[in-house]
Amino acid sequence: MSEKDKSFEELMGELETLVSKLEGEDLKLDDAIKQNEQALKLIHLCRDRLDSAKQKIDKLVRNADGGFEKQTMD
Amino acid sequence: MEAIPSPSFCSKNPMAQLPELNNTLSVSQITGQVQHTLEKGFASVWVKGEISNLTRHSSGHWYFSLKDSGAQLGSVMFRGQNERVRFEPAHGMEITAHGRISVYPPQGRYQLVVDQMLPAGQGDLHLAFENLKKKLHAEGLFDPSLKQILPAYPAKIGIVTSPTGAAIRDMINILSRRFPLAELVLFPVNVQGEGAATEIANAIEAFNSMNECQVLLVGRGGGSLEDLWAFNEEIVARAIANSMIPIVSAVGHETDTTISDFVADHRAPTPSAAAELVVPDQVELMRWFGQVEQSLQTNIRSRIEKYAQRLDHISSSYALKRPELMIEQSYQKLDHLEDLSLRSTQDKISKLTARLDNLSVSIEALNPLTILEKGYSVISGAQGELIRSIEQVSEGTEVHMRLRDGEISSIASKVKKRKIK
Repeated sequence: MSEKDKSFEELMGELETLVSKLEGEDLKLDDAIKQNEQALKLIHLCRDRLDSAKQKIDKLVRNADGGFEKQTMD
Repeated sequence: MEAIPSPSFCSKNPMAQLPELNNTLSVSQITGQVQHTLEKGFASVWVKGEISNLTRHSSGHWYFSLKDSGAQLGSVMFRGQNERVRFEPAHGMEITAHGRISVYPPQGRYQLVVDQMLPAGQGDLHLAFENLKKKLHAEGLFDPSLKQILPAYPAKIGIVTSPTGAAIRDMINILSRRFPLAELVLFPVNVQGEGAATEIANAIEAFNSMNECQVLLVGRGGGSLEDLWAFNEEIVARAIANSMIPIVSAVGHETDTTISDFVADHRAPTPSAAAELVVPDQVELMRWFGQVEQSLQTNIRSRIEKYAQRLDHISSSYALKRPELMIEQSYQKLDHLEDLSLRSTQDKISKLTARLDNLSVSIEALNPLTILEKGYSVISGAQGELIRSIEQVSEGTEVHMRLRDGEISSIASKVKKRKIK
């Protein structure tokens, strides 16, 4: 799954895992640098998501078949 | 068949003509036993009746009777308790009182010591509340082990409330300000009046069958006990308990407590507080990102420095020209690496670190040279790779032996593996 398809929660989960791994000692320099790079990339992605977020509000309305459908609220 | 034992304060023989010495009680003794029985048997009771002869004593205590068509009950409500009564009791008013029966031996009277008092209508609701609470509690619906954990960063939040109240406005404001990334789905319902409880319960069930939201906010703004009543109904409590989606209950003000609050996974004192509870604050998140970036930088820098120290250590151990040269190069590469580490492309860094790793392996490989003086030798293969294991050699393999003062090249004529325990 590419990062674009991941939810904010998943990205944050990965970031938190990376950060706690990087806090540990037993990590090869090469791996540390790779994970550091990945962590920075995740931060960048999460920031972008927050920056571009626009609140979406839907309202559920009963339709003809007795079910519900979403209507955008403003 | 044995006779049923009588309570000790009853004469064994009601027809006794003469007092029996052993069974005669003093007035204090019998009153003491009556007191014990009554106070133990009626330690917590709800009583409904009409107030009569209410006296507010200068001490702050209230004295009155509760009565109905058939009986009356002397009652007292002490100052500490009556200060909390939120209405003005008066002669002739129907009330529901909670308290305990106590006996006053000097006058041989029993009375109700009231600790809580409600107007009759409210009293009924209160009783219904207490009964349902007791019932659901006994069923285990409030069990802390049933509480679901709230998602840290919900993508979609379901809201069950009135579309017109202050509650929805407050919640939307706070959710948009703190975490606009979350999508909101409002299920508009009536939160009071006929059918409100059913609507609320159905909305919770609809969200569960839709299964799109990670958390639900269920609630309304403040109001009277009657206004909030839908959230004290069993149907709502059960819908909340059955929900697979975690629910935050947000009913009324801080002081209002409803059955929904007990069943929900989390209780928020107000709708605004509920909104704050379910999402992180983006300002704090951004700040956290900044802090993490900084600490990541420090972390990687200190790792590189440690690496540099390792090289330093190796270089000071060996006065060999070749390694020194390699080490000088390594320093340059390290500096370069440090510059690059936070912005360079991944593969550049990987290549550099891989070379660094090789470098350090080669330097360490030189380590045994210092002990060649003692008579040891170093064996390497045709490409100069160190031979550490018999696995690297087979018959006919070219090997080079390096001694203190020269080198021997030879072909392995026999290879014998030794078992290592």
